[in-house]
This record gives sequence, C-alpha cells and structure tokens, in this order.
Amino acid sequence: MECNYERRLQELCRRKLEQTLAKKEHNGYMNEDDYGCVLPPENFHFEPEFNDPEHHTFYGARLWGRNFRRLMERHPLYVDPNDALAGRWMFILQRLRPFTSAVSNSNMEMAPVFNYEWLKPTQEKYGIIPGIGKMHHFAPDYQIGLQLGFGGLLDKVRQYARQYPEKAEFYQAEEDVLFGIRCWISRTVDEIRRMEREETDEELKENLRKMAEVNEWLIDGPPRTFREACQFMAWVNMSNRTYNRAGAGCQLDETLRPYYERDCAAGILDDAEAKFIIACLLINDPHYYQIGGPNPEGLDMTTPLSFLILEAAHETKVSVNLTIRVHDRLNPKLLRRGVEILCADQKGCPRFSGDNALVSGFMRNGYTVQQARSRIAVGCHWMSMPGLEYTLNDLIKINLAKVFEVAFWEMMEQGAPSTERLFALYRHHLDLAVQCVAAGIDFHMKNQYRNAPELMLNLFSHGPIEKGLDASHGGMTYYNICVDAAGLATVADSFASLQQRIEQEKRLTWEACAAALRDNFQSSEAALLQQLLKRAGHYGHGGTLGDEWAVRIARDFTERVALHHTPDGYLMIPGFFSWANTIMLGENVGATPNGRMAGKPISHGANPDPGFRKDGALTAMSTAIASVQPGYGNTAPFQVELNPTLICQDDAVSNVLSVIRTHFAQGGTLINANVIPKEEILEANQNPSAHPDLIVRVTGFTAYFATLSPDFRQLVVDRVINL
Amino acid sequence: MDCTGQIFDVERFSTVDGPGIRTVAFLKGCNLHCDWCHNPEGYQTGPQLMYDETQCMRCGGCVQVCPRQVHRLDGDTHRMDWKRCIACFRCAAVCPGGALKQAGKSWTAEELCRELLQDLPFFQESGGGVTLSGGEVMCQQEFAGQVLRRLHRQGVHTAIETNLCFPIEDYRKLRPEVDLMMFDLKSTQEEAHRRYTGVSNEQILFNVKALSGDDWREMPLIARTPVVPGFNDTEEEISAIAARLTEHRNLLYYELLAYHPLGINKKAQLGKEAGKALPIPSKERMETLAAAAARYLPHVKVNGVSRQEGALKHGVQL
Repeated sequence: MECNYERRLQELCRRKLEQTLAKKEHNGYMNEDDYGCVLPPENFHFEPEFNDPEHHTFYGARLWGRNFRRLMERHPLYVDPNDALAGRWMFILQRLRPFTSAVSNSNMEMAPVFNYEWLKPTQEKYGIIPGIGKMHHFAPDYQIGLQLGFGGLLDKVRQYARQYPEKAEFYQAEEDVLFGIRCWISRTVDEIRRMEREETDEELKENLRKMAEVNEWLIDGPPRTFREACQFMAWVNMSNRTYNRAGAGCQLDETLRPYYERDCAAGILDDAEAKFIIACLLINDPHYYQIGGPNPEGLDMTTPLSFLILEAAHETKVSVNLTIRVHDRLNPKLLRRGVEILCADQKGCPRFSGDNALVSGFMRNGYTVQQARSRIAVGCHWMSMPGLEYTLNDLIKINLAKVFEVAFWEMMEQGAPSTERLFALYRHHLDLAVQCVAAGIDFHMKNQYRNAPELMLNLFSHGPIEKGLDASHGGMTYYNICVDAAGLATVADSFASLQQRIEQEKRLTWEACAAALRDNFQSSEAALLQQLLKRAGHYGHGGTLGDEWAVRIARDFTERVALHHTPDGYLMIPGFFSWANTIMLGENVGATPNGRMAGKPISHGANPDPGFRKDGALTAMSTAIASVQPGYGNTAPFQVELNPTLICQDDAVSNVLSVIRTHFAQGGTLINANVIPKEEILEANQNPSAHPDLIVRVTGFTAYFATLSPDFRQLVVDRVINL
Repeated sequence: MDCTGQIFDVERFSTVDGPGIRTVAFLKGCNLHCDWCHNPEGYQTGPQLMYDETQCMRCGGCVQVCPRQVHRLDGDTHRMDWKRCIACFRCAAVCPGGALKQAGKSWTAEELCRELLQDLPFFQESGGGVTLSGGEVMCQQEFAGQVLRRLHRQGVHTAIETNLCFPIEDYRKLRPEVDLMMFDLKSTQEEAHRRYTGVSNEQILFNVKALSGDDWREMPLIARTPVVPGFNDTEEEISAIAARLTEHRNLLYYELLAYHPLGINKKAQLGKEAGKALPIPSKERMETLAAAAARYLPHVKVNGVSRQEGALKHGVQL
C-alpha cells in the first residue's frame, strides 16, 4: 500500500503544536525542556499512597514501585492513527509528591525525613544547589532492554530476587515497575484495536493494525524489527519520564542499526518508512541522542542511519535534542549536513560535542581511551557511560558569584582591600563551598536509595539488578559526580573591574565601590560608577584582565574539585554550566563590581556576558570559552547565537563549520547553537502565543519560546539582540 | 623601522570582507568623502572625538578636564563647541559611560599584527585571513605595506578594500603583499561621482581598465558598488559599471551592496551635519539591478549572497 508519510508527519507536527499551546495554557510557563508530554484528560485524578503523613509524601522503594504501578494501571491512553508509535506520557510521579521545599519548585528534593539541616546554612551562604535527593541524570543502556524485552527483564528481576531473598522489597518494587509498564502497553493495545475497528481510512487502518501487532509483542517479547525497537524505546522513554523525568538517550544510530540493516535486507523496511518511524520517535519525546562519533577503537560510527536520523529531525521541525560527536575521523558529510540543517531549520538542532577534549579529559580520571570514547552526550551537558556510570550530571551547582560576594564583604569589613586579598578570601570560601558540596554528595549516596531509588534506570544498567543494589547505592560500576560552577563571567569581570579601575587606573576607591554596591547603583553618583565598572575589560574580549581572571578562576575551581574526593571517596568532575538557573541564582546575589545590579541574573555557563565585544565576534567567544575548559571529561558549553544575516551568506555553512572545528581544536567540549532573527524574537517576546513553533536552545535543552516565562524570554532576547 | 598607523576599529569574525573568517582593520584617512559613507570617522587621518548623546550621563566630568571649554552643561543638556576642540581626548578618558570616545588610535605594525593574528586558527581552518579597510587603506600605504608584509610572513591570506582612487603605481608597489584586491566602482558618471564623493572618477576608471591588463592577471579581484538611491541606483548605471568589468578574467565576482544609513548617526557624533537618511533599496530593486549586471558578468552577488545561490536558497528546501 502507498504510504503518505509526508501528510501524516505534517498532521503529527500540527497536533504537536496544538499540544504545546495547550500545555502553556494549562501549566503556565515551563522554563524547561518540552519533554514531549501531553496534558491528561481534565477528569483524571491520581492520588499517590504515602508513608509520611506529616508531609503527605512518600519515599522508599516499596511505595515508589507501588505508586508507579498504580499510575501505570490508570494512565490515560494515547493513540494517534497517523503515528508509527503508540503512547504519550502525562505525569512525573516525582512531582506528584505534594511537599515543597526551599530550593526546588518541582518537588525534586529528598523527602523531609532525610534531614540535612546542618548543611543548609552553608548551602544558602554560597548559593549551592546541592543535588541531594535528585534523580536520574545518568545514562541507561538500552541494549539491556532491547535484548530482553519487558518479559525478559521481569524474568531477570525474579531470578535475582530468588538469589537475594533479603532484598525482597527492592526486587518487588522492580517487579511493580515492570508490571506497570506492561499493563500500560496492554491497555494501549486494546485501545489501538478499538480504533482500528473504527478507522475508515485504509492507510491508517493498516497502520493501526501493525501498531497493535507491534505492541502486543512488546508486552513480553524483545523487539525483532526496526519499528518494534523504536516502539520499545518509546515505552522506555515514556516510562522513564513518568517515573522521574529521566531523559538520557543513547547512541541512536548504533542502537538502531542492526534492526535497520536486518529489516532492509529482508525487504520489510525502506528509508522512507525508517525515517518516518524515527521522526515519530523524536516527536514522542525529545530525549538526548548522540549520532556519529568514535566506537571504542576510534573508528567512526556514522552510517546511512545517522543521516536518516538527521533528516528525520529536519522534517519534524519540532524540539529535538540530537548531538553530533565531532571527532577526527567523523564523516565530514554528516557534520556538514548537521550544520546545513541547523542553519536552515533555525531550531537549535543539532548540537555538537568535541571528542578530543572530552576523551583526553576523562582519561585524566584514570579511564582508558575506550571507556572515554564510550562516554556519550545524553543530556544538557551530561556525559555518561551508558548503564555503567552514576553521575548526577547537571544537578550540583556552586554559585561563584555568591562565593565572591561573601569574600568581598568580608574583606571590606576586615580592611586592607586588594584584588589579591579578595582572591585569597574567595578561594577560602570556595573551599568551604566545595566541602559542603562533597558532604552533600556523601549524604545523597548514603540515603537516596531509601528516599527515591532509580527503579526504572536500574533495569537498564549493568549491576543494580544483579547485585540487588540501587544505582545510587553501589549498583553501578563507576561513580563520577558532576560538580558545576555557575557565574564565571560575573566573577571574572568583577575582579577585572576592581583591578582595572581601582588598582591600575586609580579612578575609584574600594570604599566608593563598596558604597555603590550597597546602594545598588541607585544614586546618580553610584550610577556613574556602575558605568565605569561595566566598561572595564571584559572576559571574552581577548587580551583583557577579564580574560585573565576567567582563566585563573576556572583553573582554581577545577583544581579544587577535580583533585579532591568526597570524604567517602567519590570522585568529583568539574564543569561550567548554569543550566537555566541563572535567574534563580542571581536573585540572591547583591550588586556585583562588574556593574550587575542586585538580583539580576548571573552570567550563563562558561559564556562571556552579552556585550563582551562590540563586534560580538564568535571567534573571540570561542577562544575565551576554550580557555576556561575544566578538562576532566565534563563540559563547559559554548552557547552560540548565530546571526541570521550570516546564515544567508554564500559561505555560511563553511564558516559555521570552521567555528565548530576550530573551537574543538582549541579544546572546546560542547556547542549549543541558535539561529534566530532579531526581529522575530523581539516580536515573539511581545506576543509569544503568535509564535507557537519558535524553538530556542535555552541552554543545553531546547524549548518552545512561548512556554518560557517573561524573565527567561528576556534572557534569550538579550543574547540575540547583542549580536 | 616599525612605523605607526591610525586605526579606528578592528573587527573580528567578519564574513563579508573576503573569503573565510576574517579580521578587518579599519585604517583612518580617506581621499573621497562619499555622502553615504558608513564610516565617516574614517575621513580624517588623525584621531577624532566622537560624542554619543544617548550614552551621556550628564556628570560634568568632561567640563572639568577640558582645557578649551568645549563642553558645557546647560541644565540637563550637554552642549559642545566643536570648533574649539583640539582633540586632546582628556574628556574621553574620564567619561564614565563611554559617551565621549576617541575614534582612531596609533598602532605600530607589530602591535596591530598581534591583534589581527588572534584569530589565526580560524583563518587557517576557514581559508580566511586579514582585510585592511578604511577609510582608505592607500592613505597609509607605507604602514599598510608593513602590516601586510608581516602577515604574509605568518602565512596569512591578505586582502585590501580600496576606492581605487590612487595612482596604479601605488597599487603595484603594494601588490606583492596582497592576495586579494576588493575595489569599489561607484559610478561611471564623472559629474555625479564628483558631486557625491567629492572627487573625479577619472583615476578610478583608468585603474579599472589597468587591472584587466596582463600584469594584473594573477591578482584575484572583487568589484563592488554601493547602491545609493539617487546616485547610481539605475539599471543603466549598474549596466555601465558591469560593462567595464567584462575584460577582467581575474574578477571573482561583482557585488552590489545596498545603501544603509549607518553613517548618519556617526556624522552627528563627530559634530558634523548629519544629513538625511535615504531610503534603503528594497530586495526587489537590488535584484533588478543585479539582473542588469548579470547580463554582462557571470557571477553577481547582492549583500554577500550570490544571485544563483540566493535563488536556490529560496527555491529549494534543504
């Protein structure tokens, strides 16, 4: 039968846009990834069982498993006859817990019975996001599930449950999770069959018939075909999201290649259908997938399927998170095609990760080159060895601007101010902040399995089921905890402004500067001083004091984190990344000597602040960001806003390619790029709902611009209009 | 001996001033005074004061340091007596908001090259390099020659952008250090040229002809015309310009650049009569003119986009 994939895809994308608008209407601003979820029916209600009556919340494996299973047994069904894949997810169980906390607005903290009050004053003092109690943020190994299927996974759980009867609660919880998923699929099959009976369009009826067959098989059996493999991955993704929002994907081209090659050879799959199925997988959920890149031996993994995945992303034009791993042997056509699509679609996809620096950096932690190559990009800035490594990527942040603020006022109180003295105090306080983070990591590792075990990701990891130990509690092979710094440019520019204006030029005094900061630059005198501070040599300009300070601060942070283990012996890996926290982290920091006013956002990741150069040269920015790389295998991304005028020029693709290649040759690790016309973003900022399809890469993730809060939209606008 | 030059800007990551990723140095001084010039701060050879009223915080710092009473605060209005200014820049040095600026700074060839080479890895990866622009690069020939020679020694691709209004011999002298010559041909009409640029186009037309000669065959050329309403924005004029370029076998392409009123504000900031902004030529108008040029020349660009490729970009979905 002739299949009209193009029409069906258009219909799916149209419906996706409607869903985006409906989510914004219902949920308000989201300020995070789209995730692919849809709204549940209005009359749906789910009440989790709880074991903490005081806070009306639950914790522990038994209730996580039980509540997940109960949710799955009731989860509203979603089938679209145009779609190759069944299902959409609607809830995050983690967020259905009703308690709130001071640090997170999304119920992602530890249940209150796990008390770490003694750490909180220090965390607050230094603007630390401790990551305690947070979940997922490491990569599963889909191969485990693809080989066993849900039935095989259940058998595996039962086999080890017999071996370790003392761990009955853990294994029972894992069984509950699998029962829940299988129930969800089984009920979906019934719904597909019902729709198939009612469908009058011949093509869609046939699609529903196949969809039912695929899903009926997957209740128990491991996927055999390309479509089954994609549907299986979609169920895993949706279940991961529903459990705790987990969004790490895999090396998608290599994961699907055996199915693709087998089906094509058997004559049951062609490229048009394969591309359509992949497009459906990408619409189903914007999980983070890597394509291209080296295999453990260093050979390029690019195949025709890598190109099909790119083309599928290109045709969907929805929010997609694909990363091309750029290494010396990468098929240059894949990289070029990726840049062409980035420029043509203007949807912030794909991203690019820099293999050389990531591999050599991770090897400094004592890993082999093969292991380092297998550590892939699976999140905003997450690097993880699938199924082997527990990382807490992107969850722990130290607000350097807050540390700086503490040091600055302490120095002013003690007297004899100088930038060197300030730096010594800053280092002292950073030490205390890092120690506090390390203590928090140990607390998390001791308690998390009792608070919120990784029942979903355990199933797709090597060890937790086999050992009867949660991923957060010794089940995984490797533990490398990601510790990020935020506010690099804010602090570097602050040091530079003080040194230049007070110590070198003697145009200001420390006291006058402190008074202006206290005054938040409100008086006319302080406002003049603010201008002076703002216009000192910024980080990112090239050859300025700001550049020197940024390198000094970055090296210092890196050494403090990378060369120390936590008291319990966990390795910490440094990165520079602020995710979408720049606004929240800035709220508690007073005016800073870079001219930033109190409460305003701190700087973004490793990026210089907007306005770092009059020409906004990407080359200068690239060089600056390469110079502050931590160099231990985690990233400090280069967030690029590409000028659409540049993109129209004849050699645009070649020039963007040159920036990417050179940045990685300079030691860069990750590039997130946007191409947004100034006029469109200004208009969309005034009237977001009129631009439901405008997609921006906010940090590591992409989001529909319309779903961002005014503060967040302004952040993106500021970056774009400063080009 | 390392001579010095006057530079009013260095721009990195330029993708419109020659091939690849380039850094452009803008040299001060120009022998033409085009009405529409984007960079009027490049007219004079020496440094000049610029005042951006929107950035002024009315602090009065300039009033206190000026030895010639150029600045005066009249209530909330900052008034300037430009005629009294001796370009000592004491005011710019104390201005906190950057409202008062010094346009033009003295650099030695060595200093400038150090600055220009910051993006060397990007030049090497992209096939880019350095472009000397202005003002008019030929107003500082000796300095330009030294800079280009140094860059060549580093293996950097070099380009110059010139109004072509200097004796051809001057260009010959510079030729060994130049890998690409980009020149303007603004009008074939002597009278209009004189009226809008202040000088005759005789030397330019002579040079255009000379550049088609055998001794220039090895020099890649790019010819450009700023399309200025009321001056040269007719099919006849663009055709006449294009017709003078048909003998140049070394012409990479001919490019039309739409007028933009960028210079108006800057003129005001230099204390000059700003003049009126002209309408920006529409895309359709530029395409019509490009089509006229394309009747004579195989490769025509509009604002950095090849006509053929531009058509492709709009017509074909990637």
